[in-house]
Amino acid sequence: MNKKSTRMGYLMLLPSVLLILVLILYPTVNTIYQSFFEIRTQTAALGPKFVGFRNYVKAFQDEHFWDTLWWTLAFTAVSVALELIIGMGLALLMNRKIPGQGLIRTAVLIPWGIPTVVSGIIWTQFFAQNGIVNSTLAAFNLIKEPLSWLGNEWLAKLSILIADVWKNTPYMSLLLLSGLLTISRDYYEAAEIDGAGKFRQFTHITLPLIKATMSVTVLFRIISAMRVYDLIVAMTAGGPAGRTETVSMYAVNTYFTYGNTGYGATLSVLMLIISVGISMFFVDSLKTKGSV
Amino acid sequence: MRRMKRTALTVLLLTASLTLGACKASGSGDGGQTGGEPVTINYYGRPDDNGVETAIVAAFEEAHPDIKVNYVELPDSSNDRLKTINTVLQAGDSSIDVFAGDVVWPPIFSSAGWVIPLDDYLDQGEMDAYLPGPLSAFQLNGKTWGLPFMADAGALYYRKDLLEKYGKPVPETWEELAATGKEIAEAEGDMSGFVSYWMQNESLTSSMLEFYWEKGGEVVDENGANVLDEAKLAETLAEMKAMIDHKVAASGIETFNTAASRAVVTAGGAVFTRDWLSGYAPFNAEDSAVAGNMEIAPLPSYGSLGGWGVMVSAFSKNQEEAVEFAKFRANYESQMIACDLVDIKPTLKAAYEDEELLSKKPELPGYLPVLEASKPRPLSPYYAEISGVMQLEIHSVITGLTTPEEGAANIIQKVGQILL
Repeated sequence: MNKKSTRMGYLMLLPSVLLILVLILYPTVNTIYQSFFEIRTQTAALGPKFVGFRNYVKAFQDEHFWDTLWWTLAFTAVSVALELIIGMGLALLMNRKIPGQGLIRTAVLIPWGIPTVVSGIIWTQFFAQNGIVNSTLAAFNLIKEPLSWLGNEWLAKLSILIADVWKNTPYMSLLLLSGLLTISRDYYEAAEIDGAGKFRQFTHITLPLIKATMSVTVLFRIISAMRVYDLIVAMTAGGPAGRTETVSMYAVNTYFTYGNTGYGATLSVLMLIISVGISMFFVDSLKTKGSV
Repeated sequence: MRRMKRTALTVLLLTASLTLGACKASGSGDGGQTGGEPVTINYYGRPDDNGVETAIVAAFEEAHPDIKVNYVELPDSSNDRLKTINTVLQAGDSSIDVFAGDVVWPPIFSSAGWVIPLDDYLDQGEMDAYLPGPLSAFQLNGKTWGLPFMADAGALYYRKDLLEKYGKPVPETWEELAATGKEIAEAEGDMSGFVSYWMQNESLTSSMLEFYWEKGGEVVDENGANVLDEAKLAETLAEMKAMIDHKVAASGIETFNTAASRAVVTAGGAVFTRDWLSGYAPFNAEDSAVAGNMEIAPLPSYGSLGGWGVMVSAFSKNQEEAVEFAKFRANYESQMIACDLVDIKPTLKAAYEDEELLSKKPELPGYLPVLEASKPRPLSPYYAEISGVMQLEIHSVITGLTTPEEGAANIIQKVGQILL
């Protein structure tokens, strides 16, 4: 009986396994395969040439790859950290019984509902030479000349971070809220009777109990932040001087626009290895909570 | 053991979610033809603005009852279109028979062997009907790899009213343009001498080349060999940087995209602008503060050639029919249909003398000198990568991160590696 139902279970899994094999495993394996070859659109007539690890050696010596990698990692770390802090604050706020709760929850969702490219364009206009940011700063006499927000390396990075935090915090806060909703009120009542303050309640009840939700949320955000593409393409296209170009932008350019398939595949594989590596840290925390 | 299994599963799921966003379904080839007629060909065309592609396809099918055309709309940006076509042709897939292509693509596709030369299907008269500039972008190694159906080029736009007021001629050198622009802008106050879009993208390379060509510089020779001139490049970059430093160029020009630059022009904020031919309509539209005063002229020396054409895939199983459609897509009838529906610039000489068309679009003859003074961007299969390097280095110089000399040296070194 048990065996039979196990077999049935595997059978029912088959369609999705096939789908994974065709749509996910094949492209991944193919990309890894391509990364060991010199394949260029321009010399496609000559066919691919096996070069072993030469593409990887090239990447390690490629200054631009390192620049894009550091920026991608820094972007991921800072944006996810800010989104976690602000998102937690919003989630706690939304979890309270206050008037207009439904309205607040809907309002918070709006940035996340706007397509990334559109929000990129909106923020580009905010940070434009005569945009709202410059005119507001000028109105308060904080600046004399308009700042070139998207033309200065650090200001451009700051602008992108602000736009990304605005865009993705709602996602974070909603998932955290769903975690908060599962915590029973009894714990807090008991803590209050024992005389625990709000802060202690947060660190001793709230945090431990939503750790699993938080890990998954942060993990998803890290993965998607690592491959950030459309927001930056819409805002700076990698400028000024390539300082805001991410690894995925570099890989897409190399692979498609430059027609350098082999090297583009190599950059993608490196990014995959780094992402999986970082994500492995979180797998542990998922495991301990697996028994819930 | 269980732990390992779970770890393996997690890794698999992670890989899955990572790659899900990256994988795209490619075209679904409908396989071989089943003997009977009519033959169906797949055409990957430009977006169907105002139904223009559909109208042309309908006209073709009416004239050729034995050929059916399946029109597939390409994505919105030039780079995304290249990705789509690249993906299909790279696999040697026959699902694209004929496609619309940017003028910078022919070197890529012809050297890859993915498109066929059309010379055998064209007679001299048909070739001579095209404006030489737009056609030249499709001619490489003595063969014609496509036919242009839409012309474009970098042009100079100037404020006619202001040049008249200050008694200045239309500038013929970039130096003169900068001087005139500065003088008029300072006298008028609250405006700039020059505006364009110099954010890090393809138009930035085009703009730089237009300065560089004036100094007699070239990027590659007829054989595709590197002939970059470091001194001339440094001079060019210094000239662009000086336009920003001396406040000839509008402040923020290094962050402007097309829309931002055009907003400055239509608000009356610039004496001169460098834009593509598509700028003429918005500059002189009713809601523009300078309507009727924004005139067009060729840039000093040359303007970068732009535009679109049709090419035929080497993997097509119906090449005869595909060529037939390609020729139709770029012929007089199609271009007239397109002119009616959208604002395109024809590539056929006769269109610029068509009385009926001229009565509807009196600005057309103004484009001719611009198109005649246009020049294809470097005809190298590696142009996209060269342009990528140039965009980065030009932008470094104009945002003050490197000096013009460093920028020129970097371009020489990096382009040298690409064109090894």
